[in-house]
Amino acid sequence: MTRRREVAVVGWAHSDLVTDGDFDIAGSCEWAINAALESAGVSADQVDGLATYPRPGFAGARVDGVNAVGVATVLERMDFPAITWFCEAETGMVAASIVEAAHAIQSGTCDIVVVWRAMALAPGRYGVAAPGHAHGDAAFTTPYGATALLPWHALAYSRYRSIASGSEADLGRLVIDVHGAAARNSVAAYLKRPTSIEEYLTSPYVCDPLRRFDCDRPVAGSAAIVLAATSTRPANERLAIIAGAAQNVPAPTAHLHPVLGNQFARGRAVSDRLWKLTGESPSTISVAELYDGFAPTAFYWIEALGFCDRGQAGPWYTAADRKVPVNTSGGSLGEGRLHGLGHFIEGAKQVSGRAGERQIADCRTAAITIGSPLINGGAFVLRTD
Amino acid sequence: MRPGPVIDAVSEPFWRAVATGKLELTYCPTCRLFTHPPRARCGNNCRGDLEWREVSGRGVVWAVTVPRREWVPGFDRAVPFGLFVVELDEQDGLLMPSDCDLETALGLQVGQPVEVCFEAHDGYTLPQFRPVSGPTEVAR
Repeated sequence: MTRRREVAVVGWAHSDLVTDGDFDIAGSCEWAINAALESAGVSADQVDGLATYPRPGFAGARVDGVNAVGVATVLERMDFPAITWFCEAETGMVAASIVEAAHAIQSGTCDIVVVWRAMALAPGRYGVAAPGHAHGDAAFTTPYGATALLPWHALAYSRYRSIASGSEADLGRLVIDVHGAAARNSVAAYLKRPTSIEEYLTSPYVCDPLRRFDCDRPVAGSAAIVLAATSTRPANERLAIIAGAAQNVPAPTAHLHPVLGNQFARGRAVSDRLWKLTGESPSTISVAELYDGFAPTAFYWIEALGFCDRGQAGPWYTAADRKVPVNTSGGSLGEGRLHGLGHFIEGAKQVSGRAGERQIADCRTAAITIGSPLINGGAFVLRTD
Repeated sequence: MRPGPVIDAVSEPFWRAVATGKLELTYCPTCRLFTHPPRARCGNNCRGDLEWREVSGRGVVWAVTVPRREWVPGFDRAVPFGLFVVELDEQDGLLMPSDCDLETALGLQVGQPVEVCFEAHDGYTLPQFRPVSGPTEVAR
């Protein structure tokens, strides 16, 4: 039996991230892939696998080249003569495609795989429900005006606030911090950034208790990473090795809405698997890059990963002696919504010592989560030897 | 106009019951657990058939929000309005939604007792929840 091979994240890039106007999504994706290959020191003819999370970043049909960039579109535009494998996992967010790519390399199917996420802006306003009737479980929610994602996340946060310690200013602290980090991140989208707790606490609600600043900003743009078998890399390179990945699996019982389930218990199930697979624990993690499509999701992950107990993320985050930096590139809130690939790239940069002015000293391990604890995504540990 | 429910074979008894002023949910006599939205079989462990059982219609506010932008085009409450989730007395985590006007929503607190009422619409009846009338202690 062949020994399982190690997989490292060896290159990455973001295209420009824009918030309005016409946008060439396929061109942005091609640019990001080329830049990621250059960052990895890999040529296109060495790449033998391609993977992406191909769904549009909003409800609606996928149209390749218009609101999505699938493998076929990339192969129409770029020369990858050695491709033998591809993956377009439609669910599990980009985490599923990264996991599949790592498996392809571990098994020996591939040596070098490029993974990307390309985002277009929605043609209308985000989160508006399609007209018509409510089928299946939606028959029990849509008639109440409760179709869109945002009200459900707001209800989840309302529940969280009723059981959590601390105050909403704690989450505001995280929001202010990630915008500060994004201001030091040259690839971040140009966004209106709150600069003080007062500004945060007086900003409008979108769906109480979620404020506008608690919502990530949709962007058009692309990000790409290069995964490679460590055996293809120079022996002295400081590598961000995928130490392990744990996927979120669907809940076994019916729920009014998935995000109203138990964020803590479901997230703990993911993190228990992650720590068991990797041998790491909250106390051995150098940096945490936590999904923040809505700001409270980062708090749910802080608790689920075991950095603190349930309901204690606010006090943990705001403690003067907190040792683990969170969302050092600004996350989706500050950098722009790349559905978690931005978080993954920042973790890889930090662990491989290539984070530039944001570099954390002696960063050996990164915990990265993609998706909320209740929406199918996953969690990773990247580690350097 | 509200987007009305599409009633199917599994959910039909629910909608038939609410039309007569009763709240009935699917229940597993083996696991002694309710499941909502309704299912034909138990998803808890036993995978056995579920039956319909009437519940009290009493519960507490589990979470509350105020949508301030329109997400359901044509919905018959203008934003901002109230949207809350009720945890029924029968079981932890047994949740049902309700909507209400803004003033009611701003007065709701998590843990506050509520009870079911039935709202007639064109072709269906919708269960809703309202604060229990009369003076009540607000439990938190």
